[in-house]
Amino acid sequence: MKLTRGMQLTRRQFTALSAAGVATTALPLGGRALAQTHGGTLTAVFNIEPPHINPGLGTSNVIQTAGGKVFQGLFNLDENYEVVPVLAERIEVSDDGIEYTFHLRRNVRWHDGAPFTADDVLFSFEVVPQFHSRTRIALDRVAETVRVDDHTVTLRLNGPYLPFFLATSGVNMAIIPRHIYEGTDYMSNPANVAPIGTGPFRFSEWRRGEYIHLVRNDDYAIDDLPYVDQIYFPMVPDGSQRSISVETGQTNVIIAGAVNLQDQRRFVDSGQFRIIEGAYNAIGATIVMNINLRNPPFDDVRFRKALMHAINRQQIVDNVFFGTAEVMEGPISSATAYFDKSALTTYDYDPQKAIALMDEMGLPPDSSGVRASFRLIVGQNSANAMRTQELVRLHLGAVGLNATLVAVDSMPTRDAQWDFDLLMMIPGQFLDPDIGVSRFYLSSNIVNNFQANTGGYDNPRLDELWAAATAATTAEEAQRHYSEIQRILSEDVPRIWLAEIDQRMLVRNDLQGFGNSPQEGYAEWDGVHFVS
Amino acid sequence: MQRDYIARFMANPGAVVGLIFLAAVIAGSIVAPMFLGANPWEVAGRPFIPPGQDGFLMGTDMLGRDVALAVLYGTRFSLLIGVGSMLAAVLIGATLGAVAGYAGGWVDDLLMRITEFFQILPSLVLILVLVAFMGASVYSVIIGIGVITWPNVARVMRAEVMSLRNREYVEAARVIGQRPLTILVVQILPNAMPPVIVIASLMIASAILTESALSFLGLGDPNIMTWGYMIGTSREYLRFAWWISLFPGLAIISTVLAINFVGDGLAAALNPRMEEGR
Repeated sequence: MKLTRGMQLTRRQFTALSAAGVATTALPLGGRALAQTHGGTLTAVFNIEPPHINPGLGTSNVIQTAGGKVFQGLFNLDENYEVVPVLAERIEVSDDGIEYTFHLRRNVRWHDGAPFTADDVLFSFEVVPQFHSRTRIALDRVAETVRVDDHTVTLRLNGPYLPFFLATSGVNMAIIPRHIYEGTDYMSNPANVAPIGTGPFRFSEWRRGEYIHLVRNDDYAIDDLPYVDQIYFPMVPDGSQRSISVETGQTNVIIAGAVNLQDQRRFVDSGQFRIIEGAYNAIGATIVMNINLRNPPFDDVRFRKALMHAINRQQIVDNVFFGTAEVMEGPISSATAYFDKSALTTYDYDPQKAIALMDEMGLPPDSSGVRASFRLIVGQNSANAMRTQELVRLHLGAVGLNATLVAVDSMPTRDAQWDFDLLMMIPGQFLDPDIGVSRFYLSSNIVNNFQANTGGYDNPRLDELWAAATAATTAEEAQRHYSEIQRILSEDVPRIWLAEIDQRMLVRNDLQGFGNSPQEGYAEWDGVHFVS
Repeated sequence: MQRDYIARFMANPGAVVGLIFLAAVIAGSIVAPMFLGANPWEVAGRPFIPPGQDGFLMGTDMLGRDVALAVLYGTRFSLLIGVGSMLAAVLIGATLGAVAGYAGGWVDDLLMRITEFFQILPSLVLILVLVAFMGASVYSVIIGIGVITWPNVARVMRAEVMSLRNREYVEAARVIGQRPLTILVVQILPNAMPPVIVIASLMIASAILTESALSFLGLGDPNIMTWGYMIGTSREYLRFAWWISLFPGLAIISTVLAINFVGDGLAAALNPRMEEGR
């Protein structure tokens, strides 16, 4: 089977999504419940142990994979980026695109038996943005939240905001229980490691360093679901052991990052596993290098352009990602809305151009051929980042740049402390530039947070354009601003864009019922069942 | 006397083979890159080319680098770390052991308690902590291995010095008025060295193994190509690209074995009684 790039959000789909009044349908979630076989155990092996599994308080692949079964959002997005109601059974949007009214399901109970109400929603809208950089940007636009009654909430924005549904779908905006968290220190609340949610699976046990165990929620809001009895998330730091756990039949769901691409291909070729296409499309993963613009020579745009010319990005795509990635040409990935290739200044792989640029800026090689030495910070638990840095340092070395690798346990800490020259990371773009891209370039976001504008890029013209783009009321208007933004950023090169990665999920062939949603890896999996 | 040493060493076939092998490996690591290419990190072809194909004697690794070249470069760094950490351990251990053995009394007690303190700590755990604390680099690995292995040298040195310090020739030196430091360095140390040399040669082998373990666990210096690093990063692909792990593994086994043979040969050569006692 050929491994192909998954579906991408097209302009048409995006425009359809942003049209006001999109989601007044009440999809009967139980409708798919054609008496399936009950029972069985899902096992999805993790490469690292999450600090907690509350997706309202943190975002990482493993937090969202495990937490996505326990917690839910108000709605999810389907493969066409249409709204699928979850905790909200109906959503109304006013014609001017400013007022969003959520009618909540009435029969939902938290796993401890407490009823789910509008108070939980209001509480979550207040708390979650404090911990989610991408949700915060969207909810900054909320002027007023109104509790209409026990099961109705209205949000009033201070202007139309096209990506509102993208920014507040379940993957970005989990609803967490007010009665558990109110008045506590959220991050140290014991419920983070023994969570209480509304989802199809309830927390059972967490053996530190071994596994997380979830069991079927018998009081799930949708009768007859979920089908499987339990889910195990074993934590296995060693890649070869993870592959063995697939071969022995223990692991039957292979999430992103669990198994290397060669083994994935082997499992698919063996006919036992299949790829769930586009299971991480909503994440839109990219691999980039953050640049600390405060440190010379990185403050010179000619040097940053030299880096772009010096790095053979096609080789990274071919030899690290084996074709499951594409060269990333600019700040907005081709999988994200408003990508405009015609606006970009592109940088071909040409070491001679890199050398010419460095000669021009007066950065000659010393007696041993070295023009500059600096540190490259890489998180050592990411095999892809570690392989990529080996090639990057090789390419830089060829033009006289001596990049010393600093392999760290906690790359996010170094990023947040601005303690790097170059720093490799794998951020998602989450389909819209205002959710996943602006955080790296806005001068208002030069803060000590992971995945903020930690490089210190400060361009007032760009800030203005970004404000105009997010205030746009039509996709055409937004596109005009975003094209200009891409023109400026690709000329300024405040970050090194390496590749757009196509992450994938594999499931064993005796499993059916996975959806086609663009965040299926983090979805509830309530319809998943075994077939014989 | 010296001719006796050499003759006894040469009489041990294992030691001679080991020595020849080591000499060949060292020469190879210096000469071969001139023909194969200068940079072991250079991408030379497609990833995962099996050994013997497309002109790659040992195939290519997961990034398309030449495994044969990397193994040869690994020799340099593995031996560098082996010899470097041996020297560090001997420097610390021999000094403290000699002082303790010669001075005796409370100095001996104090130094031996310190030595025991290091001996009772699990060595791999201690070195993991040390390297994690100092940051992964060639120097921190060398220092780390030196710190965990010096107590053995110290104990052997102390025992030798204690047995030698009351010999008649030492008493004679004392009578003619030589100062303690001179006696220690000129009279005692040369005669105490043979067992230390044997231990030191074996320590090179164990240092190579320790460095491999560290790199395998991802704590070695990622800026240099060592055998342990090669195995550590390629073990994920063992099922279908066995050659990336196998060749550095063979290099570790054969080099460590050769050093052990040489060490045995040295022991036999420097201590003829051992041979007679068998």
